[in-house]
Parts: sequence; structure tokens; C-alpha cells
Amino acid sequence: MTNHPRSEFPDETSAILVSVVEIHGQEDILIARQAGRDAARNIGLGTVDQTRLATVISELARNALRYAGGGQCRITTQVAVLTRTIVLEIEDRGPGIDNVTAALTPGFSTGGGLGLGMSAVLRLMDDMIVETRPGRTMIRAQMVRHT
Amino acid sequence: MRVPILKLGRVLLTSLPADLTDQQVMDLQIDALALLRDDRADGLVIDITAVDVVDSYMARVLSETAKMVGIMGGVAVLAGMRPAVALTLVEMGQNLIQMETAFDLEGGVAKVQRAMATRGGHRDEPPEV
Amino acid sequence: MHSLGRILSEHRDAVIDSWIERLRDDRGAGVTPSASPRVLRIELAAFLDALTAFFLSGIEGTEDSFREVASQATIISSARARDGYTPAQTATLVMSLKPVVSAVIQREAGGLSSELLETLAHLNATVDRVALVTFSAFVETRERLIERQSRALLDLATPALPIWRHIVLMPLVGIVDTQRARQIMEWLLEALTREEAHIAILDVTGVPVIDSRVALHLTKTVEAARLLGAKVIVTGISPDAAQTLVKLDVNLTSMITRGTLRAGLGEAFRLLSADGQAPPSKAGF
Repeated sequence: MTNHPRSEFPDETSAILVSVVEIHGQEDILIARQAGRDAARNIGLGTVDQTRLATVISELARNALRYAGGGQCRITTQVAVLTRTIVLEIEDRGPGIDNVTAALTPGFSTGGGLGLGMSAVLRLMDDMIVETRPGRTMIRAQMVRHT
Repeated sequence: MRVPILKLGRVLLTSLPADLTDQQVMDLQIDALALLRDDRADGLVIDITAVDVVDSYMARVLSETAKMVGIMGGVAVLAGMRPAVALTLVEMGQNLIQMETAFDLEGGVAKVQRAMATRGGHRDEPPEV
Repeated sequence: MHSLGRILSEHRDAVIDSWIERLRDDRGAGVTPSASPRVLRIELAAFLDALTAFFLSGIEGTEDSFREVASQATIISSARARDGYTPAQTATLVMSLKPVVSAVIQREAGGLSSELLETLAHLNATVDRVALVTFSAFVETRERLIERQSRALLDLATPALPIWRHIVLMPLVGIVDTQRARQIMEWLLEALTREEAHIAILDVTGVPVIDSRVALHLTKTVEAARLLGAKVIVTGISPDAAQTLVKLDVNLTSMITRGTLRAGLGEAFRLLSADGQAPPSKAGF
């Protein structure tokens, strides 16, 4: 008898990459924002979650543009029987974040901003991972909703 | 393209489009302050009914604009914020929007007029002695 | 091994009959008076046919055919979860197939042999595997059910009522946790927009415990309403709650609070006329 992975359970579905937006200018932030909103709506999330996600994309894409001159925004969705998940990945080739803990503290900013960007993202999403080194920074934030 | 600013009596009115860039928000601040400087208005009502994302940058520029308008003797009111936007802003942190608010454009205009009535503000005629 | 599939297809009706009989004898098992015998027979037959096809599909059975078995088991199990059966009853339903089929096989084989033992082991392993699927489907259906019910309860408990022009009343009843607080905030803001209300009265008489966490949620709600250009009046704060809030040093200066709903309504009218809105005597319905 072979060992069976979860494929025999009816709730198993795989993640789908629904959108990739290259961020080169301010207009691209708007495009990425809209892509996030559409992705959230397509898996049945409400207006408030759509707005949370679009706001998060706005914060992170602006950071990528300001500190790294641009980046890439990827949106992945996953629908299961009990949960709906959106994973947002923003990647750039900038100098990296010196002190991630400090960057996540409200009020911290190196770029003359209000310094709320990163901490706000943490509050609006359910989970966030920051991978950073000189030459590559990847922020992965996730929103999970139970249906 | 700059966001147009209209004038109704001594109140400046502007309605922000949904797809607003950082540059356009900054230009709006400059334009509104210039109109106030020329003594052509007492206050500013910014209608954001169409805006579906207000992030920390935009919140900051709007709040700063309101403070600048205040320093120049006027009143700025933010009108028509969507429920989802308000919720998101509150979750992001406290007091991100530091300015007067109104339910809609009409309420915003009324608020500017009431504020200017109590404050004296700009008058076309000299005060009675 | 193929013999399992052959035996099952040859004795299909007999197996179903003795399976149903066994369930009936076995008190507390799958059958209760609510399950119609016709429906039960159809369910069991569909399951048995899928299982037969699985055994016929090859020595180990193909994945596709097992998926069909799993999906039939899921259907049976979900239906039972919805009808309020216990997990044990649902598991028994599938597990009781073992002795039924074993009896048929032994009768066919006519005596113990190594081939018989192997066939029985294969049967047991397969039924066990199906039982696992059944169990997870059962739990999943139950969870979904509970989730749906609690949401329905939440909806019922939190209406937003337009009680006057520009005034919305939201009476809160029950525990306010973080998830519910979010939901309340969302509904309140939507109601304010929908009713073009300038004032919301949040009555917390029915909230058993008001601590610093609830106060924080209230503060956020007030702030969000302010962003819409509306004011929130919180009413029904009990003496206990007032003592707690002061001792916890919760800052409520941004909030208009009143002891009773009646006082809150009075304050709402005062605010409306101060805003140059229709005074109470003229405000229409």
C-alpha cells in the first residue's frame, strides 16, 4: 500500500500565481495596487480586505521604488475549503535593509517618510517575512481568511 | 496632470481621482497653498469619495497640507472617506489623519464656513467699529 | 487480489443487505431513525460500487479509483456530520463493512489459506484508509458548520438601526473579542455611510466585560467614524466598567460617553442642532 499524501482530501488545491507587476515608476504602484485588489476580489474577499491589501502593496512598492529604484510585485492566491490565502511578494535589488527590527518599529524611517510603512504592513497582514541582504530584499506578506 | 481645484464662494473644492500618484498629491498641496496666499479663499475641502487607497504617504501629505492651511489662517476638511479606507487607516496606526473631516462635500463646505464664522477669517468689508 | 473486486461485484446485493442489517443490529452505529432506509441503501451502494471498482482496477488499485472511493466516503461522512451524528457512529458505518465482507470472502474461500489471509489484510488496510478520509471529512464539515453558525449568531447580535435622521443605533450584546470588534467596526462604518448618518450611538449595556482591550477597540471605532466625518456616542457603561476603565488608566478623552441610552440620545440631538442640522422637533422619519 503506498503512502498517500493529502491529495486524497477534497480541500487540497495548489497556489496560483495570479499577477506579476514590475515596479519602475509611480504609475506601476497603481497597477500593482489594482492587481492586488482584483486578486482579493476574485477569491471572494470583501472590500475591507481588498483595501488592506491594496494599501500594503502601495507601502511596499513605494519603498522598493524609493530605496531600490524599483522592484517586482508578485501576488499568489490559494483557495482551500476552509481558508483563502493571498501571498504578496515584493522583491528588489536595492542596498537592503540595515536593521529589520528597527524598520518594523512605528516611527522609524531612513527615507524621510513618516516611518509607518513597514509597521503598518505588519498590522494589516497576518504574517510577514523579510529577507534582506545587499543586492536583494524580499518581503513576503500573507493574508489568511477562514471561510 | 494636476488635479483641478474649483472655487465656490471663498471655499476651494477639489475631488481626488482614484488613481492618484504621489506627485499629484504633492502638486495639489502646492496649488492649494498658492490660492490661499493670493487671498482668494478661506478654506479647502478635499473630497476623497473616489479614493480607494490612502496609504501612510498620502495620509501624511494630507495632514501636513491641513496644518499648512491652518498656519495660513484657513481650514482644510477631508470629505467623503470610504468606510474601508477609514478602517484600514485606523488599523495602521493612531492619528494618521490629523485634520477635520466631513461626511461629504456639502458637509465639508458647511464645516469650513462655520469655522471661518467663529474665527473671523478673511472679510471683504472692514469690521464695524 | 483481483478476487476481492470479483467477489464484491458478484455478491453486491447480498453485501449491501447484510451491511444494512449489521448497522441496524449495532445499536448507536450509523443508522438512526432519521436516516431513511432508501437513502442509506443508495449511499452504501454507491460507496460499495466505488470500492469494487478500486479493487478491480489493479493489484494495488489506481489512484483515480481510490479518489472515487474517498469522494463517496466524504459524501456519506459530510451528510452525517450535518445531521448531528457522532464521529464514532460515522466511523462505525465504514468500519462495519470489514466483518460483512470478511464473512462473504470466507464463505467463498471455504477454508483458511495464505491467499485468504492476504486478501483480508488488503481489505482491512483499504477500509482503514477510507476511514481516515471519512474522519477528516467529518471534522471538516463540522468545523464549517460551527463557523457558519457562529457567524450567523454574530449577524443577529449586532444590528445597526437608523433611529432618527442622521442617527444610527448599534446595541452590542455579548463578548467583544478582536475578530468581533473588527466586524462591528466594519458594520458600523457601513451603516453610517448607507444611512448618511452623522452620529452613531454604540450601546454597550449588553457587553458583560469592558476591559482595556474592549476600550481600545471602542477607541479605534470612534477614530474610524471620525474619519468618515461622524461622531460616536458610547452609552450604557456600567459603574463596574467605569471603575475598571479608570483603574486601568484607559484614555477615553476622544470618546463621548453617557451612562444611559436615553442620555446618549439627548446628546445626539444636541450635537445635531449644534451642527446646524434639523433640530429634534423638526427631524423627520
